[in-house]
Order: sequence, then C-alpha cells, then structure tokens
Amino acid sequence: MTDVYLPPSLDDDQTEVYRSIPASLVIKVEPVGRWFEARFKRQHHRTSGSFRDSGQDGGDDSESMSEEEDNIEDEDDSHLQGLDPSEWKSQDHYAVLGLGKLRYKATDDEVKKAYKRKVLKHHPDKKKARGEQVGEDEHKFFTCITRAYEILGVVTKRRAFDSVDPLFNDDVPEVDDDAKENFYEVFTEVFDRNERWSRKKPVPKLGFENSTWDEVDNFYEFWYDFDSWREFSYLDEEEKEKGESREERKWIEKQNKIARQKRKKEEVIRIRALVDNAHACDPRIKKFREEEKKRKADEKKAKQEAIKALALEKEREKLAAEEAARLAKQKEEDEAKAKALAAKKEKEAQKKAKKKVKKLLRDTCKSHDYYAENEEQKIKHMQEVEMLCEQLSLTRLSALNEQLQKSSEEAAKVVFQNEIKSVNEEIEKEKQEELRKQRDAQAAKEGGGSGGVGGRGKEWNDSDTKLLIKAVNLFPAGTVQRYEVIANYINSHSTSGITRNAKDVINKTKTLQRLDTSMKEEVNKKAFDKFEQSKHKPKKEDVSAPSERFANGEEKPWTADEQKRLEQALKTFPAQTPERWDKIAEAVPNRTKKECMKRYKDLVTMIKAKKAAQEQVAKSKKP
Amino acid sequence: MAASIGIHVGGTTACLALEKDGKIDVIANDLGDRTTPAVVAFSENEKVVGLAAKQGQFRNAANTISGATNLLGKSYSDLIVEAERKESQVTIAEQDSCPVYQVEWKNKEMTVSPEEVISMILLKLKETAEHQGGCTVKEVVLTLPVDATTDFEKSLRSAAEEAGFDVLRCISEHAAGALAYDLGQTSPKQTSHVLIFKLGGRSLSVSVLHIQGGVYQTLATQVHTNVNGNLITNQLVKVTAEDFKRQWKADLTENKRAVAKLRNACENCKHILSRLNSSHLSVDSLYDGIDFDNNISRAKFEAVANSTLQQCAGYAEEVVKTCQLDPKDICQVVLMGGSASIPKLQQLLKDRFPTANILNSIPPEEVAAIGAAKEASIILSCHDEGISLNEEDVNMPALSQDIIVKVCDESGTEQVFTVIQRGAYLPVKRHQTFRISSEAQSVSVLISASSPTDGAQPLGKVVLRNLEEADIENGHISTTFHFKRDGSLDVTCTADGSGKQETLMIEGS
Repeated sequence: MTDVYLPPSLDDDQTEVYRSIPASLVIKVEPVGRWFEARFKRQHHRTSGSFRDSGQDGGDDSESMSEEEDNIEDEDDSHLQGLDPSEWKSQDHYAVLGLGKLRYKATDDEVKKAYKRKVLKHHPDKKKARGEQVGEDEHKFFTCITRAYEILGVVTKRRAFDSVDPLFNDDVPEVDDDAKENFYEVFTEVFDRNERWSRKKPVPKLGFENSTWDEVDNFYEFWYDFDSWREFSYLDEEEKEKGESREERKWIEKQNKIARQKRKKEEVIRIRALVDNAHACDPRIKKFREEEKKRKADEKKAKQEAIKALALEKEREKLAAEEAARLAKQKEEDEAKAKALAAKKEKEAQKKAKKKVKKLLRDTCKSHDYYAENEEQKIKHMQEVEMLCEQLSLTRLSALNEQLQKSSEEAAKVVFQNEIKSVNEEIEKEKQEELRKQRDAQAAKEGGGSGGVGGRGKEWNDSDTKLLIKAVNLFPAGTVQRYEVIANYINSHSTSGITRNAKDVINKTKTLQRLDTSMKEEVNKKAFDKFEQSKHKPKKEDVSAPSERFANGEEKPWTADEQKRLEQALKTFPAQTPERWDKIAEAVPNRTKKECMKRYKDLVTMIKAKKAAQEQVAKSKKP
Repeated sequence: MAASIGIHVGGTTACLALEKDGKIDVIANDLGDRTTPAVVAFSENEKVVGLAAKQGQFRNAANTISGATNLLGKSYSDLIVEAERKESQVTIAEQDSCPVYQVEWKNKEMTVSPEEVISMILLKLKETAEHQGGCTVKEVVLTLPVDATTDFEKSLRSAAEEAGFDVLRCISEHAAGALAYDLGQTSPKQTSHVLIFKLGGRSLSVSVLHIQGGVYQTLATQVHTNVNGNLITNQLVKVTAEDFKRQWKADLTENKRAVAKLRNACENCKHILSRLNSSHLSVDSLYDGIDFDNNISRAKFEAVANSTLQQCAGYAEEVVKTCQLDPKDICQVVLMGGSASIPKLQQLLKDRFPTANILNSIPPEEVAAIGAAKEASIILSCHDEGISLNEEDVNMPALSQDIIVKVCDESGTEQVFTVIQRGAYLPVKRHQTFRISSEAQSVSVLISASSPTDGAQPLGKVVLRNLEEADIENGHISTTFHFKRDGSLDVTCTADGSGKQETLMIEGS
C-alpha cells in the first residue's frame, strides 16, 4: 500500500480516453536469463494456442493456463462428494480428479494438474479461507482426492488401476452371422479398445476390405503374439502390508500371486478368443484362402501340364535319335561291305598278278636253267628262286622279270645273283634288327630293375660304394629293417651329401651282387690300392721316424685273434679296475696300451653309430 | 537426469561448465586444469588437443593450430584472415573462398578447416565432461564473441553438431558473463547498468548492459584487438629476454624456438603473478644450452604491463561514455577472460568505477562457460520441446514513455506517480493500490504518458463515482494496469469495499 491518495474527481469528469498511447519501442535484447525465457515461452505458446483470449495475458504473474486444460471438465462434482475414502478400491479415481473423459489417455502432466486444481478447490484450508463451510464430507472427499492422486500419480499404481478400469469393456464378439456380415464395424472398435494394453507400439490396425495379405497377416500375427501389460494387482484381496508377521505377509503375497496369475490367464484367453473370433469371421481371410487355393490349383495344373509336355518332347527326341542311329549304322555297314568287297577283289587281283609274275619268274629261271653252272648250284638257285618268290613284292618281282627277260643270258645271271644277294642282305639286316630290339628290351628291363641309380642323379661314388659294402657287412641279413638302417648309416657317414633311402640301397646292393664281378673286383682293387697306399706310407715313416704320434694315425690292423683277446681283456677287467688299460695291454700281446684304448674307442663309436642309425629308423617308423 | 552444459571456446582457451542437479561446476580436463588451451597439433601420427599441443608448439610450430575461432565463419578475403595469415606459423590456404589450414599429418599434406579444429576441441571437452560428469552430455549452450557474425554462429553450431552436441542456443559471451553472476535474475524489478569487461588472449571487448526486468539489453560494445593478453605476455617475454641478454650476453630473440619456450614460461609466470606476489621463471636449456632462472615480482610485472592495462581501463571508460552514462551509473563490473584476473587491472577498474561492485568471485576465464551452463539449464527447464529462436524473439516491444498517474500526498499537493517505467517490456501488468481520503465521494485516475523530452501527455481518465461507506472504510482503491503486447493499455479500478468497478481501454497507436 502506498501513501498516495487519488485526487477527487471533478463533477464533469468522466471515464474517457484522451489519446492513444505512443508507439512502443522495439528493443533488441540478449536471449539469456530466466525472465527472457519465461517471456519467450509465453510468446511461443501464444502463437501456437491462438484461440486463447489475449486478455488473459498476464504481465509478470505466472501463466499456467493452456489449451490442455480444456480437457479437464469442470463438471459438477457434487455426486462425488459423498464418497467414502475407506472404499477407495471401488472408486473411479479418474472421476474423482475430474478426468472421467480422458481416463487412461491423460498424460502424467494432466493428472498432476488436475490434482492440483482439485486440491486448490477442495482443500479444507482453502475452503475455509474462502469462507465456505467445511463439513465432514469435505474432509472425506479431500481424502479421496489425495488417494486418487496417490494411485494415478505413480506409474505402477496407475497401470494397476488402468488394468481394471471399471469402464473398460471386456466383451468379445461371438462368431455369428452378424459379426460376419458387419465384420469391420464389430471388430474394429473392439480391437481399438484393446490395443491400449499392448506393450508394443504401434499396434497394427484391423484394416479394411482391400488390405493386402501382408497387412492382414501382420495384424493377426501381432494379435496372436499379443504382449499385454495388463495386470491385476489392484484386485488383490488383501494387502501385503496388513500382514502382521513375515510368514503371514508371505502367505498373502502367495495368495495374491495366484489370483493375479489366474486373472492374467483369463485375460490371455480373452484376447486369444477375440483374435480367434475375428480370424474366423474375417471375410478377408476367407478371400485370401480361396485365392490361395485357386492359385495353388492353378500352379499344380500348370506344373502337371509342363511335365506332360516335357515327357512328350522327350519321347519324340528319343525316337528321332534312334532313327538317326539306325540310318548311320546301316550306311556304315554298307560302306564296310563295299570296302571289303573291293579289298577282296583287289587282293585277289594282286594274288593273281603275283601268281602270274611268280610263274613268269619260275618259267624264266627254268628256261635259263636257273642260271646255274652245275646241278648243285641249280638246286640252290631253285631254292633261292622260291625264296625270291616268297620274299619280294609284286612290283619288285615284275621288275626283276622284266630285267631278266630284257637282258642277255650273262647279264640276267648277274642281275639274278645280285637280286638274291640283296634279298639275303635284307633278310640278314632284318634279323639283326630283330636281335638288337630284343637286346634293347632286355637292357631296358635291367635298367628299370636297377632303379634310379643313374636316373635320380644319385651316383654312387667309390667312397659311398665302399660305405655300402661296409654297412652291408656291418648289418648282416636279419637285422630289423636292414636296408633302412643301412641307408641311414650311409647318410650319416657319407661325404657326398646325397641322401639315400632304403630303396636306393637295395637297388645298389642288388646291382653290386648281380653285376659282373669286374666292378666288385675294381672296387676291391681300388680298396686294396688305397689300403696298400695307406699301408705303405706309415711303414716307410715308421722306419724313418718311429714316433708314437704318427703311429696313432695309421696303426697296424687288428687281427681276429688280437680282437678276441682284447674283448676278453675288456670283460675280465671291468671299468672300475685300477690301472685297467695297463692290464688290458698286457693281456693283448703286440699291442700297446694306447693302441688298445684307441681300438676300444673306435669300437665304441662304431657300435654307437650302429645303434643310433637303428634307433633313428625305428623312430621314423612309428612316430 | 541429463546434465546441461555450457562451453566457451575462445581464441586461446576453451572451458566447459556442467550443470547437474542445480549445481554448476567447471569440469577440469584430464590434466586437472579447468581450462583447456584451444590448440590442436598434428604430430607425426596423432592429433593432439589441449595443453600437450600447446607445449609442443615450439617443436612443431608449422602443424600446431591455435586461434581457430579467429577464422571461423570468415571468408578468405577478410582482413582478419589476412592478418592471421601473416602472423600464424601454420600455412593458411584458400579453399572455396574459405580459409583452411594446411598441415602435415602422417607425412601427408592435408587441409583442416577452422570448423574441424573447433570440432576437435569440442569433442575433447565432451569426452572429459562425460568422463567426469558420469553422464552423457548432449545439450549445450555455446558462447559467441560479441562481434560474431551469423556465419560464425552457423559454423560454430555445425562444429558442435559434428562433435556430437545438441546446440540449444548460442549466446553472447557478455550476456553469459552477466548471467553467471545472476545479475537481475533474482529481483526482476530492478534496473541497472552493468559493465562487462573481457580481456582475453586475443582481444579486449567491453560492453554495457542494461538490465531491466531480468532481461539484458546491450547498450554499447567495443572490441579492441590491439590490447590483449598475449600482448602482455609478449611484453614480459621481451623484458625477460633482455634480462637474459644482460646475464649471459646472448641474444635469444633470433631463435624462434627459444622465444617460444620463454613465451610458455612467461605465460605461466603471468598466471602465477595474478595470484602471488612473485613468481619463479625457469627454463631448462633455453638458448645455447643455458638454463635460465629468474625471479619476477608482481611489481615488475605490473610495471611492464602498466601501459597496456591503463589502455584497457581507458577503453572501459570510453564505452560507458558512448552510452551517455556516468561511471557512477555502473553498478557492477563483470570481469571475464584470463587476463582480467590481473590484480592491477582490477584495481584500475575499481579506480575508474568507484561505485561499482567489481565481480571477480568466479575465475574470469570460467565466467562465460558457467553463464552458458546456467542458460542451458534454464532452457532445459523451461522448454520441453525443441525451440528455435527467431530474430523477432530477441526484439521485444517495450514502453517508449513512462506511464504516470496524478496523485496527491497527504497535504493535498499534487504529485506524479510513475506506474510503469519507460523501457518496460510488453506485455506488462501492474497492480497498484491507492488510498482515498475519507471525505471523497468520487475519485479520478488521470493517466498520462511522460517522456523527458515532451513532458506529460494525458492519455485518459478513470472516474469512480458514488463511493459507498464501505469503500471509505476500506480506504483504498486497487487499480490494475495491463499493457498488452499490441500496445494497448487496460486500466481497471476497483473499489474494494463495494466492489464497484470502472474500466478503461486506451488503444495503442
């Protein structure tokens, strides 16, 4: 309140307007801050909700009124006044908040606003402030309002209440003629009503007469799979909180759960029945089925026809092919016959000609007394004439005849003898050719037998051959996997760097055994030469400088007797014997201690190599 | 609940503030700094944003981009771009008549637009915020330099969208500064003038805001690029380089690398001197393998920077003058920008605006971001659905003249009572209760419009006749003045006792 007084009016004063207000300024402001935002929002709303009376545009008071409040009916709620809060379960909470029309469609915001409005209107304190009488009923009704908001204001509780909304129509249309005839009128409404329970959104619509198969199929699939959020906890007979002990509460919970499940099951059955009924009545399903049937029948027919046509075609083709084959065969036969005939004719002609020529030759020869000087030669020439007749071809025979007849007696004789000679030479040549061929075959056979000795580039040089002989002797027949062992031995001792396998070794061994002894001899001789060489050198050096060091390198070979003695000595003096090698040397005459030790070492390495080779083979055989 | 954030990307640093559950805080980055250098470096095989990039600047100058906001939304032919091209160590080329940086990355030449650079910086901030805030951040309010063009805003928006933000709005830095201190937000009735003083790394911008009804109006703005934080640093570098020369008889100013190293150290030193009285400046192997070690006192620093600071304060005074205001009219001075934390500068401003309250409780470099975050939270709480600000939304109608009513005081002498002040934004509604004298039978309310130039002009009169006993007893009449958006005025006078009512509507012209 200000301390300013309004001046008293004069007698002729009237409420009047003198002039209009000067034009307002336009100020560019910074788009920040709470106040700017508030104004901005208001302006925003004003432009969108243009129906609103601009007179309501408050200056700096808050404006919460907006278009959605039209949904909240300001109906007379006197009939609700008498509600008893203790019977809240049976009350329509939407009606209490004045949302009877919107019901489940009301947003949370709307519920909240409706509640606030009701509170402002019905709160006992507010009423008192307005000077209204506040009776017992008022208090009760206010309790109902708060109860309604307690339920509708919480999402889970609101769901529970929505699920058992007393105004919801649970009816499912029956399958009858009416439903069939007015399918869309009857079922669209029901499905629209029920789609609110769907957890999945959007819910496909029932559609119309000319919906496609996909749409209809999708619709029924959705509804057969309907996932409902409807639950029946609101109808719980007893409240869990009422239970006095833990066991009791548990029991109540269990009972409630059973009841809820039962109702849920009923709900599922209800939806199922609805969809079943709709499916049964749906004229589109019938239509689609018929179409499908027709389509299938058509398809089947077409298929059968196609098969028939195909079979016919095949038959025809087969016949044609057979005919063609028959004709071709006939032609071939005819040709062959003609050919054979011609050949036969020719052959006969030739035969005749040959006979003629032969006869001519014989006659010529006979007439010339076979160009012989004596009886013996005559017989020989007769034989040779026969041979000529046999051997020479027709042309050559005729040529010979011609020559013989043309030339004089002497010349004919020369010609005749030349002919015989050449024929004989030819025969000889042929024979030799034959022989050579035979030999080649033999050689090839042998070459194949001795394998890839040369073919695979695995030449056996002297040292390897020697090694082989040594190995063969080292591993006598009867050794397990003998040739593998031998190959291994050779591979590990060879200096040639060629790896050989058992097969190579066998081949080589066989060749060596089979081969003319010359090779063996050669090898042996070479070995002997080498031996001789090695033998001679040390001997010479022994004479010139009998030093132990040199003797180490090339000692004199061990005789069998010495070997035996050594082995015996080794056995008699086991490893622990003191002065072992001295004793052994004593046991073996002609040998020094050093020589014995060397021999022993050599033997050990040899045995070791042998064992290693054997082991390796065994290992590779069974990995 | 999703947090709302505000981001300020300046020429040298970027800062992010997050509003969550009603609390606003600046998010420290991965190094624990509350501001991140707005620097992006392209090193051999990675892109580096922030302090690491800045520290590597002297090593990789040709591939380190800073001050990308200067080029944002500008055409290649722009004078600023020209100047930047001369100064910057990074090659700036032209592409579609827009400036782009040319850098070498992974041994390949590539071009980077300023927009992409900003986007990288924003993305970095976003990552830190999500990490620290523990929630997804999407809605953001960005600040714009006061001299920003629409192209700049567009580019900044697209850069932010590129970084995965939802840009709620771009607001001016200065408005954000005022909002950070909640100026006018708590008591909308007050009107006041505020000076916003922002001394950033690259420029000085000063503006005067008129705050009325909680809404800010910028009266005047000046931007000066000849004084800035970098200049002060450079001055300090020059002085220390001379010190070095004296001490070691070696001139390091020729060596770019040494200068860059010294510059980094001096910048740190400058920051420290805003808080402490002396700072140690030491650079290892500054030049020719010499380690430089020096102590700089605040006095010395102030002596170095004095001329620049004086200049800044002078500009501040100048702006106030251009608004035809007296320095005494300024109620508050909002300090923004890193260099505004220099105590000497604050002292100078205090000297020039003795009646004003120097607002420095929030670190000046964070003010803009905090203001933006505040705005973001306000927007989110006011608008559920998407909003887009139009040109007309920021142009608000306001009263051009005072609305006054003729009244008397107790002695009966006539007086003028101002109901609604000039400049009030429309629509506006005022309730006013007037007393009536005991012997009055009827009262009249004479409404006039008054402006300093034209004087009072009567608009209309409301007369209440035949007041009843009850009214006299009650002793007052309540009147409602409702100025509507279209410029018309509704006046309703009600005698509370009898309920008698009289209304008058004055059309707007």
